[in-house]
Amino acid sequence: MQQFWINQDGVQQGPMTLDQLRQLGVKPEAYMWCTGMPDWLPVAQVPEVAALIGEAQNTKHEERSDEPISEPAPGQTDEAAVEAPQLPAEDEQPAAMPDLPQQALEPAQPQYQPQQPMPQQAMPKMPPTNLGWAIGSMLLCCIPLGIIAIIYSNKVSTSYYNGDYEAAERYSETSAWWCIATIVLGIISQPFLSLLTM
Amino acid sequence: MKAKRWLLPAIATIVVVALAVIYYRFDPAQGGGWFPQCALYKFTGLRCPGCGMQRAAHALLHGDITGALHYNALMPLIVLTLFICIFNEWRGDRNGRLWLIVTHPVTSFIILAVMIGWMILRNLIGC
Repeated sequence: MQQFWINQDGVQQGPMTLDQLRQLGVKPEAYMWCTGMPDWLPVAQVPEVAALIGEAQNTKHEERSDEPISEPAPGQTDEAAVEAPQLPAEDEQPAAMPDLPQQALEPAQPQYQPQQPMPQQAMPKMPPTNLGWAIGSMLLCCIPLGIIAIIYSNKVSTSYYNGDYEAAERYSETSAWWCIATIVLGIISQPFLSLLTM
Repeated sequence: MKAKRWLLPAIATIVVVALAVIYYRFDPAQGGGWFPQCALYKFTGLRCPGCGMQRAAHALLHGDITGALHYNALMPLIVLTLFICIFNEWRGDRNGRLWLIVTHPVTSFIILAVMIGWMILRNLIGC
């Protein structure tokens, strides 16, 4: 039996059979990979899977298979089932950025090495952007260094929403350090500024 | 954990009240060398986006709103933004709408643009 892996809405699932894929519901913008394929492809380019696109909506309610996979629970909306299938049952909010448990962060088999078309991990917690502190340090200490802190704060969100969580983490730290540096420099420069006035 | 959660608001309240008393009691516009000064202004003569906020605070605490806006027209906006950003980080609710708005890349870009724009404008027209 051929095994399929699918990546849609930023979540990778698999292995599953064609039947299970049909039950899950395949979105036209999803990527998929199966054993024997050199690389991930948009589902539209894989004929056997492309046939499943949109089919789920029609068949979903009539046929209910006896093998329960990836729990598209009855009653749950189609959207929610696809969006958060790796969440434990107790928190079922299809939130934009769920705090996923640690095991959800581990990528499923097979590890996908080349070119990575999509983030294959679930989203980790967003690091603080330190925007407030950046603005504060910029104004209170009156040094354009604070501008650098704001720029790094901006980079935190940019890289986080682009799926580069490691970079976001790094920039968050960098922006925090710029805030501290700005504040410290602002404070130690005060006595010298007072001397200049005299 | 709970104690830590209330540490920031507690310290912030104390600091704000203390600053309010100081800036009510003393007028930075009258000089008195011990008020913090702006390094940028000192060295280059250029006003930074935050310049005038101490004098504005004094004016505001004495009910002089026009005077406050005259010293730094963007002060209310800046203070509000600062409060919202720090409140958001303290709250830390990553699924909340506030977090999504504040941490959006466009938000920090707008803040940066407004700050730099304000600095250029105020140095051009001298306010």
